[in-house]
Amino acid sequence: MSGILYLITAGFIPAMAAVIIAYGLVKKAPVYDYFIEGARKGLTTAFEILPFLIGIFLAINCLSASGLIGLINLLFQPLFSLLGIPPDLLPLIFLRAVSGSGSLMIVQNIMETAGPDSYAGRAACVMSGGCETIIYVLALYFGVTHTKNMRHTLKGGLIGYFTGVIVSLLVCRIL
Amino acid sequence: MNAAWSAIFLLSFLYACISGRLPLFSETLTESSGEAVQFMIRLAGIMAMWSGLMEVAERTGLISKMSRILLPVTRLLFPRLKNQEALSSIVMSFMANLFGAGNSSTVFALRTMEKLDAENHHAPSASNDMCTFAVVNMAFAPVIPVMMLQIRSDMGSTDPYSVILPSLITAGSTVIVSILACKILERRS
Repeated sequence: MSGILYLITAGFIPAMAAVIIAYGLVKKAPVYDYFIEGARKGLTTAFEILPFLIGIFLAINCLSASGLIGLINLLFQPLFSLLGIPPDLLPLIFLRAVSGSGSLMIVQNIMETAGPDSYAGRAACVMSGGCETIIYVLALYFGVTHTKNMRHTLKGGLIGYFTGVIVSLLVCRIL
Repeated sequence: MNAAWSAIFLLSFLYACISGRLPLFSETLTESSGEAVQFMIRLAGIMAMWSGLMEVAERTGLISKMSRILLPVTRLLFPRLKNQEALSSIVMSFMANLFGAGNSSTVFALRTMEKLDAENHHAPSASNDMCTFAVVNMAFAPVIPVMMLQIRSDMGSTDPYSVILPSLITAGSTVIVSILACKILERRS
């Protein structure tokens, strides 16, 4: 069963590319010319988001280099032990919202210390799979638009994020 | 964003002074912009590739064909959106996310945001559709967290797949709550 799932997951993206190209050939379109044109547009977009990336990387790196993230963890620790949440998960819960690559390292750390099949280890996996790095995503998404005011996007994102955190903690306890 | 960004920087600076981490802080300051550029370069290649393929799909009419099939689904989330290209772009972003396409799904999302922005006439304030798409797309998670499973089995887990069902339940409820949150928040503003 899981073998088939693996195959579908690994095959989806290449299959999508193949369908697009094959469809273009059937329609007798100049596929390669279109591809080059589109690729040029993509590079322009990549360059356009660079200022936003620099800004957001700066903020995130400052937050962790100054140790402020650690302080936030420390402040929340009593509340978490009261709720029966393993303290190992704390840095993940807060870091995941701002940095994806940083949080993957934390997940590995948790699995090493608590074991991959422990409650903390499983909850860490579920949490990091389901929760996106909101700050980075918003900086990118709104970097390509002309929008100055993103209205309720951040609020909605945070609601979704903490729903993910809470549900993953509950589900891993039950299942 | 202006206030939040400034606050993060200044608070971090103050805390670095107090906790004696100023040397590390200063090092971070000089290195982080280079890190951002490196990240962009890695992203740029895959972005160009997918933008190229999407261009082919758009100009040959494959995209508008797809969106017509998936219209019933997208109409629920984006009732007022009529632009076919934007709609199918949304669907492709969601699909790429479900299949764990990583940076490829980011590319689809960015293209979708551009289209929704055009649909919003490049107004300074985000449209409901832009907010809903951003929030819901963030909530989507890969059906099979392939990388996570790999790490788990590398670490000697007795049952690496034990996280699949919890992940699905978590992602499902996050998506539903995110949709509801958007629909409620947009009515209030």
